Amino acid sequence: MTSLVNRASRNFLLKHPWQLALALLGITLGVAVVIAIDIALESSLQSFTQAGRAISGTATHRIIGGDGGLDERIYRQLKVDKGLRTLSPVLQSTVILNQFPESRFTLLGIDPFAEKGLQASWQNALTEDQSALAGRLITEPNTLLISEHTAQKLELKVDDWLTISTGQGERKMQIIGLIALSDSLSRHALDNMLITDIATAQEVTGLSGKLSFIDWVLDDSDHQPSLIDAIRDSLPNTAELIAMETHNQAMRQMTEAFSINLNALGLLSLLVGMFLIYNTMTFLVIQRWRLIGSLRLLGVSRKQVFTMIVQEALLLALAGTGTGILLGIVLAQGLLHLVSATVNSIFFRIEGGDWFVSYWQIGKAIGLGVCATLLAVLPPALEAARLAPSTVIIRSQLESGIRRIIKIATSLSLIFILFGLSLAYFSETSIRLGLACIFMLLFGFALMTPGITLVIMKGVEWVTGRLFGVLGKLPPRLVTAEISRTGIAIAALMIAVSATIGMDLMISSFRQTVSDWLKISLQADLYVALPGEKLADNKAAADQQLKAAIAEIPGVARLSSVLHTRIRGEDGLIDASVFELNDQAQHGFLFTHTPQADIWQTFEQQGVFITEPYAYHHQLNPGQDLLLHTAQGQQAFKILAIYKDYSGDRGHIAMSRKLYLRYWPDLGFTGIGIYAQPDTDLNALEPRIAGLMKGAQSVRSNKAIYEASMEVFGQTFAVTEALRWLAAGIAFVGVFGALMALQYERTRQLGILRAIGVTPRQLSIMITSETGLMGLVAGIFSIPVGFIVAYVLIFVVYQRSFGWTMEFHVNTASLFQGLLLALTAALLAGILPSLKMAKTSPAIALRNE
Amino acid sequence: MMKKSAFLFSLLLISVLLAFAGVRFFQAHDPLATQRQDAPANVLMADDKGFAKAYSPRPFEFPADHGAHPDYRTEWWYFTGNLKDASGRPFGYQLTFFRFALAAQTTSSESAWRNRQMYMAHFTVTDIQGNAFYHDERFSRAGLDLAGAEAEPFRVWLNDWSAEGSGQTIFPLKLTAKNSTVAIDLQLTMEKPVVLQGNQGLSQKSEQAGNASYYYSFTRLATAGSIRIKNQPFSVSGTSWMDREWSTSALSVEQAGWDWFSLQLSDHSEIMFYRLRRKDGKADTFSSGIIVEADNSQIRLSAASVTIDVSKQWTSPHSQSTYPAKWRLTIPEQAISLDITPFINDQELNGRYRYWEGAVKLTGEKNGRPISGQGYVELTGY
Repeated sequence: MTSLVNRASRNFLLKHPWQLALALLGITLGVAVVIAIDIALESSLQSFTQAGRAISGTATHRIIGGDGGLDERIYRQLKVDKGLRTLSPVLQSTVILNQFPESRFTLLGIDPFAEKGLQASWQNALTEDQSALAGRLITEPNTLLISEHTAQKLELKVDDWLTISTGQGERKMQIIGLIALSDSLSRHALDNMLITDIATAQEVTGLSGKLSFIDWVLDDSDHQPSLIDAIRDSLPNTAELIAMETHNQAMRQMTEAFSINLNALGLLSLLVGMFLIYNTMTFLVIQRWRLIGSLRLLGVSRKQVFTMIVQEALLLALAGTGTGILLGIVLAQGLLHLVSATVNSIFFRIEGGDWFVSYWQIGKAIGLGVCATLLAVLPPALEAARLAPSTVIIRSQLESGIRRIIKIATSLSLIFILFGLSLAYFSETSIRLGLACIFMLLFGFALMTPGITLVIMKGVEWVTGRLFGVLGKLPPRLVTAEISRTGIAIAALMIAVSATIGMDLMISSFRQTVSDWLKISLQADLYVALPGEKLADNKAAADQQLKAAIAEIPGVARLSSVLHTRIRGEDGLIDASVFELNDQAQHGFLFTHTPQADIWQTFEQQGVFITEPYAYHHQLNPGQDLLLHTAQGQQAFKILAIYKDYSGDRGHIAMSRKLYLRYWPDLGFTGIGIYAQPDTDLNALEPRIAGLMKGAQSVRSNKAIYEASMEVFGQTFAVTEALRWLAAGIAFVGVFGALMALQYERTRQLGILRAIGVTPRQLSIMITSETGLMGLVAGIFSIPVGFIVAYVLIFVVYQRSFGWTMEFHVNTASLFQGLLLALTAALLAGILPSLKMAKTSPAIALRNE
Repeated sequence: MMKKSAFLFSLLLISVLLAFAGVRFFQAHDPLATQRQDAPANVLMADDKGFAKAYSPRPFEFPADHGAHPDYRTEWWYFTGNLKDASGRPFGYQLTFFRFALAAQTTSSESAWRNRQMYMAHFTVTDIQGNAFYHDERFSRAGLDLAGAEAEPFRVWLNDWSAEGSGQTIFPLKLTAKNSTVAIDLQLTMEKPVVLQGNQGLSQKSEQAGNASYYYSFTRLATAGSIRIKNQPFSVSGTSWMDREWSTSALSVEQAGWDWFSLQLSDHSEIMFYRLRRKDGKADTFSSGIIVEADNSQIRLSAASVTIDVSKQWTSPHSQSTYPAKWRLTIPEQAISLDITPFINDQELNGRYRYWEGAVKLTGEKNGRPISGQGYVELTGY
C-alpha cells in the first residue's frame, strides 16, 4: 500500500514540474539568504576574533592605559617584581604607507621573545621557522615583518623598503622577512600589519617609554582570584586590568544589535519563502483531492495520506535546503564585503577575511529549512488527511471552505497585530522582541490579506463591470474564485514589499536625521584633522603651535578644538570628546531637553554632557553623577545635559577643555574648527591652512566633511540595502512563479473561455489584468503596512539597538517603488502564461485537463 | 676550561648566532642536530666580526669578572647541585643564566627596549625519590631591567629568577627561581676558592686561535635553603658547583658535542672533565679537565689521560634521542676509577634547545680506596 501511495505521489509531482520547482525555489531562496547572512556576519566577526588572536593569542587578561598610554615600567614591574610569566607587551599604532596611501596599516610592536605560552599567530610563525628574524628585529632599527598574504596582496618581497608616515614624519623601514600563517582561518589575521620590535615601534612612533597594552596569559595553576586582585591593586591609577573575555564580549555586544537586525532580514526572506512553500503545498494537495479520495477508497489510511504529504514536503525541504546552502555560500561572499565594510565603518577595524562556514551554521540552515517547510505544509497535510474516502469534491465547495478559513484568519490577524503592537510597547529594551513585533505585525497583516483582497475585488468588480461588461468582471472574479491561492501569493508579495517600504522609510528617515544633525553640528567653515598618536610626548606642544599658527592667518576669525580621547570610568574606558568651544560652536549641540540658561558656564567649569546613545546604554539622566578616574583619584562629574550624536552607537561623553586639563594630561587636539571672518574666500583660505599641514594632517571644508559623513552613512547601510533588495527579489521571483503556475494550472478554465469565443488577445488582457490586480492589491496594502513597519523599526528597534532617536521622514519615492515592485512582479508573471494560452487552441487546452 | 654548562652554552650560543645570522636553524625540534648538519662553526667564523675573542690568558679581576663581558658573544653563569632534606631525601637542581650578544655593536636609541644582549635561563629540579624531573626556561632581552648581569653588587637575573650576591662579595650567593610547579631558594657559600680552568683560565676548545673561552669555577659551594615541589616545601642542604664562562667562538666544524662531568668526591676533591666528541665518533684531543684535591692542589687532565666507557644507554621518550646512561671514568695516572650513574634517567631538557643535564652518583676507587660522590653530567649533541 505504501508503494502505491509513493507512486501516486511521485507521478503527480513529476507531472507538475512547475509546482515542484516553485516549492524548491521558495525553500532554496529562503534558506540561502538566511545562511548567507549568517556566514557573512560570522566570518566578518571571526576575522575580528582572529585578528585579536593573532596579536594576543591565548591571553586571558589585558592591562590597558587610558589615552595617556601605559608606562612601560609597569611591564618590568609585573615581569620582574611580580614574576608574572606569560606577558606580551604591545605597542600598536595606525600608520600610512606612502606606497599604499589608500590602506591603513597597523604598526604592531611586540617582543619577539615573549613567552611561548602566548600562542599568538605572529609568535607561532616566528618560532616555527623564522626565529632567526627575531634577533634582527630586536637589534636592527627600522626592520619589520609582514605576512605572506599581505606581501602577495601588495606585491612586496623581502628586503623591500617601505616609507611609513606617522605623526612623527616619514621613515623608511625594511621588510626583513615574511611570516606564514598556515591556518586558513587566520591567514588574513595579520593582513596589513607591520610587525616589528617594541623598540622599533617606540622609535618610529615617538612613543618612548609607552606601551599600548600588555597581554597576560594567566596559567591555570596560578588561577587565583587573589593574584588577579593583587595585580590589579598594584597597578597605578592610569592602568587597568581587564579580562579578555569581558573585552571580547564587549566587542561582540557592540555588534549585537547589528547582528540581530541582519539576521532578522534573513528570517524575513525565510518567511516569504514559507509563504511560497505553503502556497505550493496547498495547491498540490487541492489538486489531488480527487486522487486522495480514491486512495482513501482503496484503503489508504488518514495517517498514510498525512505521511505522504509530509514526506513529499520533507524531500522538497532537503533538496531545497541543500541547494539553498550552496546558493547561500555564493551569496555570502558578496555579502561579506558589505558586512565587513559596515563593521569597519561603525564598530572596529577588521580586514576583509575569508568566508568560512561551520557545521553548526549548516545544521542551523538545515533545521530552519526543514522546520519552515514542515510548518508550512502542516495545514494542507492536515486538510488532506481529513478527507473522507468517497468524497467527490468540486472546486466551488473547496473555495467556500476556504472562505470560512479566511474569516477565521482575518480575526486571527487582528489578534496578531494587537499582540505585536503591545509587544512593541511592553517589551522595554529588547531588540529581539522589537523585531519579533515586526514579524507578528507582518504575519498579522498577511493573514488579513485574503479578506482584504475579497473586499477590494468586490469594489473592483463593480467598477470594471460597469466599464467593460462581463469580461471586465472576469479578472476580479478569477482572483476571488481562487482566493485560496491568489490570497497567499498576494500576502507573500505584500510582506516582502511592505518590509522593503518599511526599511526604505527607516533608512531615509535616518539619513535625513543624520543629515540635519550634521548641518547643525558642523558650525565651523573649515576643519583641520590631526590624526596621530596621542601618546607622543611632543604632540600637545606641536598641536598648540599649529593652532596658534592657524589663528594668525588673515581671514580666520575664531577657532574651536576637539580632542577625542578615552578616560577610565567605573567599568572600562569611556570615549570622551574634549571641546574648546566658542559661541557659534555651541550652536552645534542639539540637546534632547531645553537646557538651563547658564549651561555653557557650568560646562566650562564642572559638568559633562553625554550623548543620547551613551545615556541610553548606561541608563543615565541629567543631574546624575558620572565617576571618572583622574590623576587625583576618582572624581564625580555631574551630567548637565544629553545631546544628540549619530557619530557612533556606543556613545561618548563631552567635557570642556578647561575642565579636562584640570585632571588629565594635555594630549593635543584631534581636530580644530576654523571660523572665517565674514566675506572671507574659503577657497583661498583652505590652501593656506593646508600649507601648515604635515603628515596625515588635513584640512577640509564643512561641506566636504558633510559629504564624507553621508558617504559613511551610505556604507553603513549598504548591507541593509542589499538585503532589502534580496528579500524583495525573492518575493518577486516567488510571486512571479506562483502566479505563473496558477495560470498554467488553469489551462482548462481558460480553454473553456476560448471555446466560448474569447479571443486570444482578450484572454491575454484578462490574465494580465488578473495578476496586475493582485500586484496592485499587494502594493496598495503594503503601503500602510510598510509605514507601520518603518515606525516600529525607527521608534522601537533602532532606538533600542543604538539609542538614537530619529525623525520620521516620509519618502514618497520609496512608496512608489514598493507599489511599482509589486505591480511589475505581478504583471510580468501574467505575460508568459497569457502568451502561451493565446497560442494554444481551445481543444488542446480542454483535452489537457 | 668550559664546564658542562659552558659547552652546552657554547653550543647554544652557536645555535643562536646561527639563527641570528639568518640560518633557519630552529626549524627542526632538535637544534643541536641541526647545528651539526649546518656546520655552525663556519657560520660562527664568518659572523663573529666585531666581537672580542679569547686568544690568550688574561688576568682575572674579581668581582668585576663575575659580571657580564658584553663584547664576547656568549657568556654563562652555571649553578648545579645535589641536595638532601633532613630525612635524607635527595634532590638535584640546575639554575643557569646565559647571555648572548645578538649584535657586535650597540645601536643608540630612545627606546629602553633597544638592546643587543639577550638572556636565557634554564631551571631544573630533580626529585630523585619521586623519579621526577622538572625543567623550565625563560628568555628576555636585557634593557628595561628585565634581565642582566652586574658585578658589584653581584647580580645576574632574568625576570624573577636571579643569583644575587650580598654586598661587596659574590658569596654568600642567593639563588631564586620558581614557576608554578617548582621553586628554589638557596644560599651558596664558598668552601673552596676559585679554580681557573684550562691554561690560567683560557679554555681552548678547538685548534683555531680564538676558538676558546675564559672559564673559571667554584667547585664546592656549601648550599642550604628550600626547594618547593608542587606546593610541598623541603628544607635542604648540600653542595653546589658554579661555572663561569664567556667566549665568542668555540667549537670547530668537526666537533659534534660534548659530555661534561662535574664530580664532587667524598674525599673532598673534585673532578671536572669535558669530552668533546667529533662527528666521526672519536674523542677530540681538545677534551680536557682538572682534579682539585682536598687541599686545593690542582692536577690538569688532558684528553689522553682520561678514559670514559659507556656501559648503558637510555632513549628519551620525549625526543627519541639516545644518550649514554652509565659511564666508567678512569684516570690511570691518578689511580681513579669511577662508576657514574644518573640518579634518574630522564633528566632531559626539552626546551628551545634540547640537551641532557642531570644529577649523578658515583662509586669507585681512588688510590685503592673506595670512594663515592655525586655530581652533574651534561650531554649535548645527541
